[in-house]
Amino acid sequence: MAFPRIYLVVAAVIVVVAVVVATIFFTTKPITQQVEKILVVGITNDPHTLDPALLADIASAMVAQNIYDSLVGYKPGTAELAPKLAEKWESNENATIWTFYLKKNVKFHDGSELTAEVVKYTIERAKQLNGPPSYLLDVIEKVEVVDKYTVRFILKYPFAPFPYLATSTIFSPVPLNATNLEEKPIGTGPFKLESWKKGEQLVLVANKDYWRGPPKIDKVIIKIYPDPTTLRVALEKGEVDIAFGLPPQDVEVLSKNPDIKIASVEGLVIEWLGMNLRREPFNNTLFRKAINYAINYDYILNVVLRGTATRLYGPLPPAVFGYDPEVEKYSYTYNPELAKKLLAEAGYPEGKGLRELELIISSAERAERKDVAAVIQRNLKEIGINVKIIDLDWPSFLDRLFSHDFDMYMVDVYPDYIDPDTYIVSLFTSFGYKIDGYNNTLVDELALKGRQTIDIQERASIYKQLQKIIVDDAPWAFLYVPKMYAFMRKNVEGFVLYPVYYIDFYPVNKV
Amino acid sequence: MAKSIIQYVFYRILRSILSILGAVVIVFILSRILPGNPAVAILGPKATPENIERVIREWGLDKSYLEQFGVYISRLLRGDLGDSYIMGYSVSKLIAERIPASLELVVFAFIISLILGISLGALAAKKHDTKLDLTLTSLSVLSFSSPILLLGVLLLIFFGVNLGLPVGGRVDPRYSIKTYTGFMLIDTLLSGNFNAFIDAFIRIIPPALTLAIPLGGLLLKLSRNSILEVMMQDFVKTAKMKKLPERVVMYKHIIRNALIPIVTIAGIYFAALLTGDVIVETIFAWPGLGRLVWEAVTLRDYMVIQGTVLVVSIIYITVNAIVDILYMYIDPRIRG
Repeated sequence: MAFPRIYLVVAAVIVVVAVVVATIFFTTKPITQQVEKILVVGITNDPHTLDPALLADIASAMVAQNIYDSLVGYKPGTAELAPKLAEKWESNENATIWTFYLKKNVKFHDGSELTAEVVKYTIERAKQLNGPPSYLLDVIEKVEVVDKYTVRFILKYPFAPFPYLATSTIFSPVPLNATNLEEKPIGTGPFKLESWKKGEQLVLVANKDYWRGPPKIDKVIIKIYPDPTTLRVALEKGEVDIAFGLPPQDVEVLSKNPDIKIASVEGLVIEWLGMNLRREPFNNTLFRKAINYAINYDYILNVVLRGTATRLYGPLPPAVFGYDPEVEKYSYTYNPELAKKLLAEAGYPEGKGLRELELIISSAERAERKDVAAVIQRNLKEIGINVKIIDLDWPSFLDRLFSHDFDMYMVDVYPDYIDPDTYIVSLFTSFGYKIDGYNNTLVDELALKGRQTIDIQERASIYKQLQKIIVDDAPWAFLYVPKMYAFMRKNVEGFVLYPVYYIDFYPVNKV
Repeated sequence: MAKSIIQYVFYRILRSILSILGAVVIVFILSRILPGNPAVAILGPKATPENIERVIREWGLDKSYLEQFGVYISRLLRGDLGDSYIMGYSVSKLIAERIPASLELVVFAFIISLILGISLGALAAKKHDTKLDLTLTSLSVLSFSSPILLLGVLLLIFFGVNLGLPVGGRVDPRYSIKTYTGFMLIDTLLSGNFNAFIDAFIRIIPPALTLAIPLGGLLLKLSRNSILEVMMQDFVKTAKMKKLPERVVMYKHIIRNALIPIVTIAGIYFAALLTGDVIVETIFAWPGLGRLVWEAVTLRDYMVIQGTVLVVSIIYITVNAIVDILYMYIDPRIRG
């Protein structure tokens, strides 16, 4: 054979490539405007499950919120409650019995009707499945059906924020005898799941029989871009209509792009520097105050985070009920001289007699945390405290956090329900998560009183006191509240960003 | 003769089964040595001891390791890889969904690197010690030592921004492509959507190049050296003296003999690529095996880690066996 086979193969490959390239240039047109209105949403995390009783991650919640409806919703763009599947609700005097009146003629995607029986089943099923978020139902003693559209929750103890809790996805009704909801969800929501290719994309189609009327778009495609850079390129090219999960440094660049608009809202997530009060030197309040005064908060907010977060002055973020603006006056600001003085008073003049302290973080979960930790390290060094930063993967970090094996840590937390109760009880009381080892019987007492009080004025004054006490005790260095962002193409209309993790595609339209 | 081959095959299969078993045991132990557990990973800062305990009991993780291992093995023997803790559905389904994406990308990348590597390697060997040879070998060193993260991002920006071509993912999400085989290039054709095929074809190029460039560089250097070595041997001189046409000498005598070390390396690389490259899959939003394992590790989803490693080790061993068979085909001495 004079003409070797390899040449034939090479020639064939070249011809194929040439033909393909030629066709690319001559035949591909931009995908023509289809009759269907499709919204492409880009996210960076893969949803895990679509069963409301099991899901505990943000990506799953975002999808589930559009397939299921919660009992209680929010007023657009706020964290204030609004009726949803429940038209109204009321409680007895001491907030132990809550009655919810359901909307009539609400149908599931499978045609069955929403009744009080269904709500009872939903809660009992979730309790029985014992999934990761089932702790949210611990307060419920039992659920009673009053009549076809009235359901009653009997609580184990007085709990004023219960309606806020009822906005959680785990309260979203599922049809009787539901099976395999993690992959084949059936809800009452504005969209139905059409297909799900794990790690790749989910396709939701409009529920034309939705009880609030059909959504404005026909299809939502939720595509997963694990690398935010790729997601940003896709948004800039117009392949993606809305992007969630881009890092804060993209805000500056994308705000200059005329095809893109940015929605932002002050969030409810708080980030703090925690300390182990069980150990020296953190069992000394003066030492903790010294740390609070040593940190250059403005530098962190303006230089590192470039205005994508606001200051956290005390245990509560500004957007939550009960926040006391006074805290901005009495809380800690950058004052290295005072920090040095307090450090000396604590018995460690210029840091003498201090060991090297360990600061554990997990930057995989929030990239900018590493830079913030480096600033804190430098600030503390300036007053004579040596800090070593240890960057761990998420489960290892949590493992050390809950075995109390740390000097200091940085983490953020998203509230379970939008009420001061969740921040105070879980993070500062002896019956909460007990991460820091902070103990103040007055805080315990007031926290219990706060969750049992129905009167709004009275509640606000309780949380005002709590903020003062906790800031004075300085169990943490209070850092910042990240803003929430959504980036979208100019032609996306009607999208409303909530301060809570509630992403609603129902009012969205494309023009 | 025949008896010894059967003995050899039998011995090989036995050894393969033992290695798979070893892998299963090691991964079971390793994944549980890692600090944290799936309950902690999914609950986050809300993982109070009570919440963790409840979830762990529900998932059967409160039992002793030996008991857990027993349950795992007994299910495994029935062909059941178990269920993901975090996602709630079966691991075998999860893996089966990811394999076509990985395979499609790897085969594509592999073909590019084989063609580029061997043909340029042969060219360099033929023109050895010239400027062309020097240029090609320098390029090969550069390509197999370039960090894949940098290469990936550069290709993403070059294709996506500079050329303005679609990048990221397997196909434009707005094409609704039905899954027939799981291979996007085939599925788009089967759905008769030629535009989607072109789109998928363009999208596979940058991630494939990211994988192919380092491997291609390695193969270039390897094949150049190997071909040069064979060229110096006596039988080649004899063939040349017999005045056989140069092409025949090159392809029948030289390349065929030079291929043996190349096949070994290429085979190992193919298996390694198939197990997924988490960096490439992350940058190009490619839903392959690499990201599945990565996510499973970060969530401590033991069943998914175990299942994937099992499948991967089976792939490794199979590819190794295929390489051995290829040896016999290429090298007459082994066929002996």
